[in-house]
Amino acid sequence: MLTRPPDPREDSELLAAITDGDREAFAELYRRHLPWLLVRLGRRCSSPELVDEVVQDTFVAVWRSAGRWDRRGEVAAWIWGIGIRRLVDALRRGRPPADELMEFAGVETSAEEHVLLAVQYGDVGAALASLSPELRAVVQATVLDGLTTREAARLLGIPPGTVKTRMMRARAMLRERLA
Amino acid sequence: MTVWHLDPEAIRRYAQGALPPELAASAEAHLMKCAVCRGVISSYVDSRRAEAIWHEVVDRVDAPRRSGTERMLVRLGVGEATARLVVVTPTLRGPWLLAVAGVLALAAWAAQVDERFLLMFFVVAPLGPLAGVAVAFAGGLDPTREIGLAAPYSGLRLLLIRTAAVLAVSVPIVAAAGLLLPGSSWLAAAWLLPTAGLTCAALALTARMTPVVAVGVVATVWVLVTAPTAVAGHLDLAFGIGAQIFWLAVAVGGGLWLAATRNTVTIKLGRSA
Repeated sequence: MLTRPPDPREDSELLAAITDGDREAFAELYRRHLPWLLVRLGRRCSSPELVDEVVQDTFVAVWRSAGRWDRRGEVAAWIWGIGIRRLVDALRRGRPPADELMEFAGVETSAEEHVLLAVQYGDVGAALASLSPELRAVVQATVLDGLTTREAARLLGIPPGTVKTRMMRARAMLRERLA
Repeated sequence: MTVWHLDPEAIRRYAQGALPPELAASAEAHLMKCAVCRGVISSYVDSRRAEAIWHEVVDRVDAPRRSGTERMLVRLGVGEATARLVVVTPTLRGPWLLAVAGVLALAAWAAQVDERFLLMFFVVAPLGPLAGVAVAFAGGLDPTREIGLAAPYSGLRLLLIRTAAVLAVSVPIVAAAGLLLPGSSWLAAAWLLPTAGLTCAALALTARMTPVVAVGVVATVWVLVTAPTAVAGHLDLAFGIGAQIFWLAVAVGGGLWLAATRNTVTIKLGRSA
């Protein structure tokens, strides 16, 4: 099913067709949006099995609630909104991802080293890179993934209060770096 | 569409998880806007994995949607298969429940009008849940019957699950009707133990006959015994303390018998064979 000729329809037209039960349109939407969703969710969860399950949930939800897309913004962003929330729900139900993050933190160069290396550069990328992995994870979940504090807390397996304090610290550090 | 695109090398490293976090974040922001770059990623995703997920998605999309009751049962911790079994039980459909409620409401109303009908309410009350158990297994009404006959599923388990479901729904209906009765409050509950006893007796009989026949036999005996005493005005004989203890004993005895023989007895759910 992944080797058929491309469908000329826009994503929004595909969603409209899915509302009418068009399976071809659904297959095309899946073809277009599965790869990046798989990769993007895979960067936020260490278990490929869980990612597969979440992606599956997401597309079932897309099929069932295609009519609920508000026709504003990108279809991809809408699908991402469903996907990341399903991931948060799946993580809340199952094992916490914390152990994997700890392991990652051990491999990473220390926060001080990051800061020292980044002081000479003034741009946002370097400023972001200068944050410790813990702070950066919080910035990523709230600012870039568009999650609420509570959802970010579930995704990262830490209390909501910690998300808030880390976000505050990250903001202060970024401000200092970019000043 | 934007004219700027991600460098193919950056997409490769992003897809393989090798891009530094700040660059990955920027790549993700662009990917949300750019169909072309999203398309490039697909070459880094295992097509067998994509295919496998697609089949699962199609399976789930094709599966009939679960009803609200079924989803509620699953959320309460009931297994998915069991929840489906309970939900398709013919007795638990609206029309049947309405009919039971209607008959009992009528009996309760008649008892309000004339004290003599009170006796008839007690004769009829246990028959409601009991008939519900029979209908749950009535051949023509059960949509899972053919599957049930062929499935390697414990007949006793099926019997108990459905009976429990039927009782859980029909007993409150009878209880509500009982509260409408005139007279002391114990009367409103006097039919409970006979109902339990009759149900257990019917269940025990399913080792010898189909549930429908078993319920028929038990119900007939019940009516033959209680109707004359009720008409004669000896309410205590059928519902007094002695009778209550007798029905409790029948219920416990039937339950114990079922438990003791659960591995040796074949429950006849199909055509009487």
